[in-house]
Amino acid sequence: MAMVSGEEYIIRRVPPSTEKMTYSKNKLNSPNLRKRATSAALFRRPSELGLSCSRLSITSPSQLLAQVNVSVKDGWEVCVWRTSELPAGLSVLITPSIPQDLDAGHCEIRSPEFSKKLISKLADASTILTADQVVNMKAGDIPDRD
Amino acid sequence: MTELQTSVRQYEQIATQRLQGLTKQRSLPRWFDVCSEQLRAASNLPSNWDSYGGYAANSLSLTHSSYFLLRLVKTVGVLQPTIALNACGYICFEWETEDWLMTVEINHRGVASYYYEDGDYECENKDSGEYKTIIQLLTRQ
Repeated sequence: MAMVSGEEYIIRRVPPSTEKMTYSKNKLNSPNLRKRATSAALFRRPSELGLSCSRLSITSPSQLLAQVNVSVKDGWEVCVWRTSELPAGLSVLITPSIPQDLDAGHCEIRSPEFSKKLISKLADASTILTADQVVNMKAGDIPDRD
Repeated sequence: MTELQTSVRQYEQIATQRLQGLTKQRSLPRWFDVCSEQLRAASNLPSNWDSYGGYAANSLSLTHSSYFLLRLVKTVGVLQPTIALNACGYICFEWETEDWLMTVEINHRGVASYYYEDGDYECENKDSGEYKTIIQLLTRQ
């Protein structure tokens, strides 16, 4: 399986924040709030090899939500990572979605061991896109994370 | 009053004070209700709540998590956690401050797998029973 390039961005659905799936925190040296996913939103099931995500170069945030018939209006959110900024020990592989035609941009974050430390650092490295970004970003766009 | 009577009275006063200290109800922190509601919300999530096939809450994890929450509220100095379900069906408690962060996952056996980070200090381990190690980390500031 091919690896996703470090220059690419990957995205993942995050359930509504009423389920406590996001944190807001101040960015370092900035008064702006950065919203990120909690660790709980980024666990994989025991049977899974990796954490399902999608390549932003192929799948837009709104398409990602539409795949499962949800939208930002329902409170769903989308988090993003630049692949090269993932914590050490994680890699991103291009994998088929199930069903295969659900998501042409499907990929998985893989690691020999999904430790609590790795999940925690993965959560800390994530950024939640604004509702505006989710609605308006096209596949291939580069997200503004400031 | 004889010397013996004085000693007995003093002993009774000390014993009474100690008993009052033990039985005195310490008011629960304000965040207890918020956390109870988060736990209840997690318990109500259906299978596939995350759209990636996440499991519904494991009932034993919920029971152990309720006990863990009680341990937290009974300990002075513990900050409010965020409580959420993870894809395994286990309950997660998370804290993040400017200085440190901690993630705790409680499984169906009541074993708490945790990761704690405070600057350069990091530790990842398991705890169970009275969760003393986790409580110590949460109150080490």
